[in-house]
Amino acid sequence: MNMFPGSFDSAPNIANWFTINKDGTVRMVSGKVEIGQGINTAFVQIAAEELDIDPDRIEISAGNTKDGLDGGCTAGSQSMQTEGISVRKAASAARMLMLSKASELLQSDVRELNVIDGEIYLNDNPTNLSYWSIAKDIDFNQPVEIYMEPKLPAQRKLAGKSIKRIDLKNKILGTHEFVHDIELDGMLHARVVRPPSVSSRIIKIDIDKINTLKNLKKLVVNGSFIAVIAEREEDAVKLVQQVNKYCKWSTPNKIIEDPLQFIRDTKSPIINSLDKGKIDVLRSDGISTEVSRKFLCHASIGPCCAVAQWKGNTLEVYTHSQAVFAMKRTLASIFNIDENDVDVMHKHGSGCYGHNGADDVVLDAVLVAKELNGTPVRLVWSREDELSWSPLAPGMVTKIDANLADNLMIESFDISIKSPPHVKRPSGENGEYLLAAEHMSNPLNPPNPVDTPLDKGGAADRNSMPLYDIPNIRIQKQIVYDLPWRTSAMRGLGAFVNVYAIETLMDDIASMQEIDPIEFRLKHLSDPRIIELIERVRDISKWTDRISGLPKGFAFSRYKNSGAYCAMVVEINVDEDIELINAWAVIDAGEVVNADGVKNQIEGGIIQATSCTLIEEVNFDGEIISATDWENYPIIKFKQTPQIQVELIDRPEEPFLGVGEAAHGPTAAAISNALFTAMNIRIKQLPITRERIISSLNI
Amino acid sequence: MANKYSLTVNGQKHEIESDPDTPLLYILRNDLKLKGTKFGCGGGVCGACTVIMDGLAIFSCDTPIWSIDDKKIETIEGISKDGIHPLQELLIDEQAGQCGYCLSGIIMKVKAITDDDPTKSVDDIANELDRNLCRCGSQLRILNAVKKYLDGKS
Repeated sequence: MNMFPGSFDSAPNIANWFTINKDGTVRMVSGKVEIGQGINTAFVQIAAEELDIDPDRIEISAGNTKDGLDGGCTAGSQSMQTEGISVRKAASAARMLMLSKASELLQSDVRELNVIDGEIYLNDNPTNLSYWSIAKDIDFNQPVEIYMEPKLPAQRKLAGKSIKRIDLKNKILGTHEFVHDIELDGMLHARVVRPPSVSSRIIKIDIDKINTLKNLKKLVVNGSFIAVIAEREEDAVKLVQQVNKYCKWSTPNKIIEDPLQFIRDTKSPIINSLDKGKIDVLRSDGISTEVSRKFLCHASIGPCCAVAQWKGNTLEVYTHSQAVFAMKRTLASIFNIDENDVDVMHKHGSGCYGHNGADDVVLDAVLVAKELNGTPVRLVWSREDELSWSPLAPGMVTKIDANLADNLMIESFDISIKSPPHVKRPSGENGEYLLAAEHMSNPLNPPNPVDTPLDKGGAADRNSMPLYDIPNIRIQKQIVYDLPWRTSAMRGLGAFVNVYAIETLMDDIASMQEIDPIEFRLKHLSDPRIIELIERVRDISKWTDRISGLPKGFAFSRYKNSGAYCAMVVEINVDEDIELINAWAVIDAGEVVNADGVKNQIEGGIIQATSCTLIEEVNFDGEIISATDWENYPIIKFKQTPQIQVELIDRPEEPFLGVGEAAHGPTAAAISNALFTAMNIRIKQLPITRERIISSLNI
Repeated sequence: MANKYSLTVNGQKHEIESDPDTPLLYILRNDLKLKGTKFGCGGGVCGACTVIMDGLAIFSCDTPIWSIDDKKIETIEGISKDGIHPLQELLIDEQAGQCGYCLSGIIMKVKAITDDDPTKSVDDIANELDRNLCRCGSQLRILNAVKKYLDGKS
């Protein structure tokens, strides 16, 4: 494993990470961006801990290709596990470098020095030195590796404390500048004119008529990419429909009646993800399940947005992309310009739960700006663009055949996963997978993406490997490339459905054997860390009255089998609809930096996953995506908010474990298991709607 | 055709020249540079654009300027201009938010409801927030802050 993960390969020196200013402030750079998860706050906290300064002194810059660090994509619950460690090492090195200088000046041993909020003390007595006074005489261009000396767990003071999010106050006051709020001198407004469906292309466009439209500053036509530019934003919005009346689009030639059945029937090549032990065919006393989920939308509240400006052959972009350096490389490649002539600056967007249209809207805005000779342009997607033109989370089918041994323990799991691709991110070449790249007059046809192998965290097969002691396991996946819709990563990727499959099957087997479902799992577990987690949630949820009180359900997973552990109990009410009343989650995220930050992620994850489990599904009319507004893609509402109790098992000696996606799979499975407790029915297709419950009751 | 409209925003009077059907949202954000009010859906369903007009919460994204001539508008910038509004203080205490994009609309809606009737319960407010969406899942924390706000009022 890389000893210096995250941005370290490109940023080996202390100066790459920290600038110590004489005014008592510290500028810090990180390679991961804030997408609503609070990562910048956690990084500031780690740095303040190692530097022995008040976190308020640190200003963090993240996701800026001008002077930032390339930490790769901010995704996969990886930021703490990779960049977090690098921040800690770099901050500790900055401290040690400054203390070495101070020890020279004071002619003392570095071990006699300590720091309180930047002031340097010798044998606990004040000196006239501080970081702020000595930094100017230090060359920080020195390797982190030489000076790093992170504190031992017992030496940490800020660790686990819930310092407040550094960006949230201004967001609550309404003064934070989101990407949508950027205003450059002379900036114009643009919107994209969309085809009726994903494979439609322009056949005819009446440009003469369009040019007579009031308030149209400019029409952009590049193949089937069509956009309008106006001085006023509301005019750009209005012009979209007016222009589309003069556009004739081709109709799709491929009609897929039932996308999930199409996925189920795929003939795509089988990829072996895991082959452990020996798999027999399903025996008559075995048990099988096949679960599926329909396609989902990211459904951020604020639509995707980008601001772009060409200055001659150089390009500047403001974006809420998760991967600014990949965007920089991708744009340079599409426009055939030098990478050094492209700068991509991250600004906060509306909530990001994976690969939504943030990258797509960048190319939209850049194509429009290209027509403007240096005038900047802001392009915001419409609500319909956001829901139906962002990549979708793919529909998916997971099947498990389980054989049981004579002692009623699980002998084997034979797991088959079928899914469209979960990862279609642009990485730098050929503008791969950007929406407008498919519509431009010279459309780019990137190859099908390779589904991430299971030993690298997996994608469709993420979390398909059960953590229970099962001697024989086979995991196979088939990636379905021949559906027309654009799909990419959404929170958890395949984990959502795979955890649903495993954890509902565990309950089904326990029920068949008339054993308590938690007891049944514990019989298949030997890892003390997992056992402690599960026993804790059993206690705090008062699991023993799971049948006499409101029906309860349990589920467990460890995200990616390498991130945070999550054990969950939920309590539901089954009336006209299913309502989640209570959720108890116990989380083991290794060393906790910001306890409230972890809880916030888990609470939010549970509420969002409840929405995905009970409400959300994309339907299709032929090729047309039905999700065009909040009426036909509803999400959870305030009145459906459950009570949630999150407990953390803090392990200061252990590495950080990412939590952002830990709650999703367990929430879905626990809700389904609670319904099974209540009504002895198993809903195998998500979302669990009233209609599906009624049809499974055959009434 | 551009007409002249007069509106008072956060106590300050503005004369605006605009097409009559221009949504208030764009006047606030682009003419008056009050960017705390957000675009979300354009159809009055998600609540991100909520502002208060003469005491009532409205969706600024589908309220045309002609309908608010001579009306008093309050936006997120107005409720904290003399310091932080108590509801905002409580939201900060509860760390009620993740991306924060929906918050300004939710704050304005809760303020309008509770200014009008301080005896409302948190369940009443959860019901009335039917057209204010949050995708990050901050509802529980927001409602906890609202509950403390109501407790402080009663």
